[in-house]
Amino acid sequence: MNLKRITGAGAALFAAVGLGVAVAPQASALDGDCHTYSACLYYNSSGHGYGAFFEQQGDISNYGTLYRFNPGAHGTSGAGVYVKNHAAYADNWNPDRSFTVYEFSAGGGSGRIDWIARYGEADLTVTHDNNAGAKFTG
Amino acid sequence: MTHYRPTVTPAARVALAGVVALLAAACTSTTSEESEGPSTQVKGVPPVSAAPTIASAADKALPIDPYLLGFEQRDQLERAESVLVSRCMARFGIQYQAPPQIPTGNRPRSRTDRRYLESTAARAQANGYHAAEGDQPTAAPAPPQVSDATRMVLTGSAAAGAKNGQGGQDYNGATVPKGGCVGETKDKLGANPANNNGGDAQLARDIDATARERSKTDDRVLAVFRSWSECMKSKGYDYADPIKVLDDPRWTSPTPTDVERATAVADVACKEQTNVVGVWFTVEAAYETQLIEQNAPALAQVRKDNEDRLRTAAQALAAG
Repeated sequence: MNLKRITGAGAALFAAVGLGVAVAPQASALDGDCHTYSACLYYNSSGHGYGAFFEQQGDISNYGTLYRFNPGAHGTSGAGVYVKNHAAYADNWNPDRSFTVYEFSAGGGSGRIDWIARYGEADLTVTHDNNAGAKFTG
Repeated sequence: MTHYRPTVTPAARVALAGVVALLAAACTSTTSEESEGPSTQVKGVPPVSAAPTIASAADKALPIDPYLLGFEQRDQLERAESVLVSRCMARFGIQYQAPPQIPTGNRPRSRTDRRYLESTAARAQANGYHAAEGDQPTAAPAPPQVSDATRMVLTGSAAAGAKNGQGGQDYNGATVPKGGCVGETKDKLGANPANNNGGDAQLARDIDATARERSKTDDRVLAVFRSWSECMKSKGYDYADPIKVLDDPRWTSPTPTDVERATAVADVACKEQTNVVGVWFTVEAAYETQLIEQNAPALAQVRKDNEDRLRTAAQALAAG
């Protein structure tokens, strides 16, 4: 059972709807794991301490069973877990390229697209199938 | 829209079953909605009319699209970022030019292109579930080699492990701005935490994501997934739904096998036969519409903010 702590997009949205205000973003820049021109994915969302991370410098069409989260400056939660479908936060340290996360790997990237701006950062969709691959774009 | 034919072939029977299920679920959900009464919270199942019969949704817009940056708008913002960063770096006597934008290549041509896992028979036959030729994962390119001084001016810190430096350093007679030239550029172009530092507004992303997730567990989508599964079974393939077929470990081979290609071809045929794309798109759009209506004032602000950012970007580009 996955006890990962996440910021549920749905939960956050519904809370906001109830209050009639926009969602207060929790995303923030992180230091300690990533490096300039890389992008890092985190096991936990910004609201739950980020946890273990995975750093990539190139495109990965399918994380598959090749890549796992590593313990880092923001904790060990999720360390050893496959990156595929388990990322909750993306931090793009590339000032020259945006970073696009694909829901599914089929066809080199398909399904819902989560676009992270150049040097941007964001909580990702919290789903079972939320990140199969990611590419530097733009 | 869905067309009914007087003569129902076995193939059409499967599709018809999906349409009937769609309409039946819609009727049920309408009753459910009405019995629950009005609510300020998004809940319940939105009713939908008959889904269009489509093999691809690439040319169709989702209701949330106007509140998310389109591909051309993203490209415009990024071109402006390149210009402004270069201009800022030049103030410090540093030539810095972001590499040209990556050719769009195999990038989906819209947010709905390949969103419902649609393909074509030709592509399935050629590539199975693999990326098309020319869109294979690239080897990790070496990151640009920049000096500490360049990094300091670019990001506000000379350390490669610091994302946004405080700036304030003097370099070549000028003071490095907070966050460096990247930070200065982001500020000019309206980046802030609400838009994830220059990306899409979180509210719009949340609606996009929430509707997506609700759609994947919606009875009408699950019904068409079952129809698809039955269709696949009739062709000799046993998969519960069009998502699970992607996880077949046999598809991890470096290149597509004959089995993978044959499965993908059957998949395309069954998606078209059962109208997976039309139903899934319609249901997802209905959830988005419901969420948008609940958030109209905040979304109006999102749209205005995006327009302001794009106007600023256009001005930066016009100034060269």
